[in-house]
Amino acid sequence: MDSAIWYFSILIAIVFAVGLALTFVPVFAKWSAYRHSVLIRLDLPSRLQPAVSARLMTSGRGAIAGGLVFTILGLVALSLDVGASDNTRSALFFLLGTAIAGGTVGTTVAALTGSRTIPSDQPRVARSNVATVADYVFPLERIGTRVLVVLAVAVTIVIAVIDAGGLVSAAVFFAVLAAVTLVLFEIAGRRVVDRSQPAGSTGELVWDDALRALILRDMLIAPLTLSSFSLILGVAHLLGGDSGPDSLVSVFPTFIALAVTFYSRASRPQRYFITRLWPKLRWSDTADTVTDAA
Amino acid sequence: MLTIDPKSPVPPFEQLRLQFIEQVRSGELAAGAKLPTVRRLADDLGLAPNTVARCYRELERDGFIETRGRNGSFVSAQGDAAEQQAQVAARAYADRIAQLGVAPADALRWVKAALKQ
Repeated sequence: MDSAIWYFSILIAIVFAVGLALTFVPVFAKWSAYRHSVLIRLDLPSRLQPAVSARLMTSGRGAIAGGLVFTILGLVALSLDVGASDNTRSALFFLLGTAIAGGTVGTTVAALTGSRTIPSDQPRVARSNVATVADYVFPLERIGTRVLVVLAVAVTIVIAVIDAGGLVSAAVFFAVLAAVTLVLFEIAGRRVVDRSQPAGSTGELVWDDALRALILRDMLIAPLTLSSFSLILGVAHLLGGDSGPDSLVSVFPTFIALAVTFYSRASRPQRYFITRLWPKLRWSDTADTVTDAA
Repeated sequence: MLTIDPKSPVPPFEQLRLQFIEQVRSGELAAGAKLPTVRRLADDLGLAPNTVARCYRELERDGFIETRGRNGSFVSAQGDAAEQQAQVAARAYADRIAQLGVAPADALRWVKAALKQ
């Protein structure tokens, strides 16, 4: 393997190690919870902060562990000359792709394991109607990801038809990985939403929804990113021959992906679940005094 | 929102039933709205599944909800025949608006404008 691949692997390992270490630092856990509170403009009562921090850190650890495991598997695959190792640049994309896919798998596993309990003498609060994945994820992200994955798969099919020799390329690999992680999102996402939400107050229920929305959006990172990579590489390969990612044509899918990202960010997708599930909620509604009274 | 207080003198089954009736009557639970499954609601509220199932049976007997086989339980339309038809139409409109990803405020504005004509 090329030395650049080793340097890149070491860089990923350092990033994962630092990230994993941070999840065990109480100050970072607390900061993450309050940062998320500011981001979604939702008050975080001090009595809920430890539980929210713990769940955020569990999710983070799952993502990092998944990313680490998949990166190692990717390195093993590269050393055995399996996968998208036709050149160094593709191999680096390959490692990045496996790390991102691993992160999504790890987030999913963390979301579907563990359970919460509420003391039996405490009041319990529950939603009287049914929430779906569509209530948690902004439509542009949910539907846009599906469109990107379908486009990526279509481009790779065209590559396969036109140039059978190019089948084992990064574009094909990313498209397959994007499709697999999208299927994972569609199946596991429903299971995440179907899990019970034991809550002792309205504030707890709102924050459980907030964490669910965060997890579901995290689960979309892999199909979104990988399908974008696949499109960039695939379109470049189709229109630019062997010029690969350096080709000017790769600018167009990149531009579209950036435009979608900017529009998505401007629409505040992290607050989408509030407009769907808690339309009358205000910043102070989850404060201790209000929720305790409720 | 449903709240069950274990320290209340009112049995959990009755607390649940009364809250569902209140929400259906107030329109908080609109006609056609899907209710959580028995198991899910029992898990959420820390109740025995039989308690929730009994509540659903009584609500169905009293005409507040209806069970559509394996699809689950749904809120029934209330009032006379015309009111029931209007509630079914409102649910169909709400479902279509959700499909289209239109903001509820815009949907309400259009309905109000249409009703004024």
